[in-house]
Amino acid sequence: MSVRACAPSSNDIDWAAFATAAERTGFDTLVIAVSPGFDPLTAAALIMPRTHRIRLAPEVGVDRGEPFTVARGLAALDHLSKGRLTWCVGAITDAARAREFVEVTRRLWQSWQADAISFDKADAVFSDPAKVARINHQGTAFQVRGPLNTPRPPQGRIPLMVDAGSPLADLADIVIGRDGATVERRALGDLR
Amino acid sequence: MSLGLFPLGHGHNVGSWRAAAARKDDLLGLDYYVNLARLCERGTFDMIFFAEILYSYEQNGRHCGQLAYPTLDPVVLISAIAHATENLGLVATYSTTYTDADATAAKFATIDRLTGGRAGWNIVTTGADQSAHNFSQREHPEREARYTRAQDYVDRARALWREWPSSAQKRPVLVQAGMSPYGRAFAATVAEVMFTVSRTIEDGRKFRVDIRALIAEKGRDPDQVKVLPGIAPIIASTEAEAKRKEDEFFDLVHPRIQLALLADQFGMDFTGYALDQPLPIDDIMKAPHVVSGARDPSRLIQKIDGQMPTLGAYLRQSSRVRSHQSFVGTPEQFADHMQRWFETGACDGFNILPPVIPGEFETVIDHVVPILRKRGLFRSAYPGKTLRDTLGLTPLAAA
Repeated sequence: MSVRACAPSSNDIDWAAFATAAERTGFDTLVIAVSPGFDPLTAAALIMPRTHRIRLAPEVGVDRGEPFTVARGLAALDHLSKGRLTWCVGAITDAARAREFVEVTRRLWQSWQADAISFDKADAVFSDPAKVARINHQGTAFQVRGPLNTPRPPQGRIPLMVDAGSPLADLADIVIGRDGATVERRALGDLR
Repeated sequence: MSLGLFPLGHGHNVGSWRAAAARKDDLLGLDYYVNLARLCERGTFDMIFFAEILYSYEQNGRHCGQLAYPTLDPVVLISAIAHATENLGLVATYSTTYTDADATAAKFATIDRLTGGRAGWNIVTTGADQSAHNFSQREHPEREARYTRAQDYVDRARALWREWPSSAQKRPVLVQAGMSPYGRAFAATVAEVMFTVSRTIEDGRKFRVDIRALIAEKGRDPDQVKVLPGIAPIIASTEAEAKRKEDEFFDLVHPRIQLALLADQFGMDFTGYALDQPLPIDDIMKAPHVVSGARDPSRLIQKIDGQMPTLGAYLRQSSRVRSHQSFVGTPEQFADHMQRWFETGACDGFNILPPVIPGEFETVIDHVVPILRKRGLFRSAYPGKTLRDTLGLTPLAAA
């Protein structure tokens, strides 16, 4: 079961205490919602080291900005948290742009193969050029060459969470039902 | 004086990941960065500072296996290490050329509020033109256009920070690191900390005198801007031992890494050039990255006794710390060096770029900081809670 939290506009709650309480109570996911002047991914990074098991699902929108920024930010926290991250996408105004955004972000995560870091000190090969490749995406909204400058995140593809009825529902790994309770999960084991 | 740590990979020496202590998973795990943050706080450092790279290194259009070590999103990094420290300033670089002002303003507002006012934003316009292709741009914008955008971007961020709930220091400390005339003019208008490149004490003094005059011209108080040149120390208990260490570190820079470094700097292939011959400056002036204006050879290449260095000597300097100055000697000698720069107006402190991490930074914390403290040049305890307090900047009335 997941718990959804929003930052009040006037004052910040003690996020670490809130997250540890949610974890202790047995919630499996903490959804951190966006509000003006509050960036959920940054908050998730602050909370992460204080928790151990609970999945963190910061809301990172796709209406503005570029996939490269989002791909590298989420990949960084997935690495540092050893794979405890879920990507929650909120409201969407342009469905076509949003779908392309998600597609490019996922391709950037795949631009490093899982075993690309060879760390061969003797031959001076940190990473294997055969295992890191450009994505050369030429789309309508985005043109992205890649590769990402962050190796593949531990989860391979960071699970995508959306509300039912979202134009991204068919791309999502977790869909929150209209009643706020029903959760449909796809097979997370196949994402790597 | 003010001191910052600038960690990069396993160290600023480009071969540092080949050092004995370096492990494969270091750069993707939290522990590596938490250890550095705790070392900083033990040494009462003002701040830890992370750079931003917006592309993966390539050589001839292919992934470069020698230089492409991971660089994590710097705002995520400073946020993830915040819990392990209480006073340390947390500075992240974020580009104004390829990101959205509202989103960036929210990131820094969040970390600044949730850490009780310890955040800083190193504002860059991004020098590397490879970045454009990752952000739906055909071309990297010209410097003048980048700085015009940067000014609007920062104005927008500051307007938002005045609207949103403010942090204990009102808003993040603003840092700048460009040395071009546009960069200096921008810094004189907005920066409170400047990370600079000065290789000699004379350069340092001249830069600081000039920038302080420019700051005053813009109607600001020059004492509210801290000028911190980068320096890469190699420290040991004797001078001979330090020199031996320097040789050891250079041995980490495998010939393959040397070629990759040169290809990255100038965009040309140096295979076939002899190490004992003077740097092929005529060819370098025609190299792609020099012609495009992305690299300025006069900033990268340091003449030795007025002579062009050999390719080997250039590699030795450059592979250690790129264009910054380095220092090889004992803790006392390094403290003397820092004191001379500080007391003769060449800087307000330093940004430390350890060539090998954490070893060369531990040496600074354990053996150099105590000397600076004994001489009354550096604090033994933090004066307050916020980064502004630590830097000795006047508190702000509003964001």
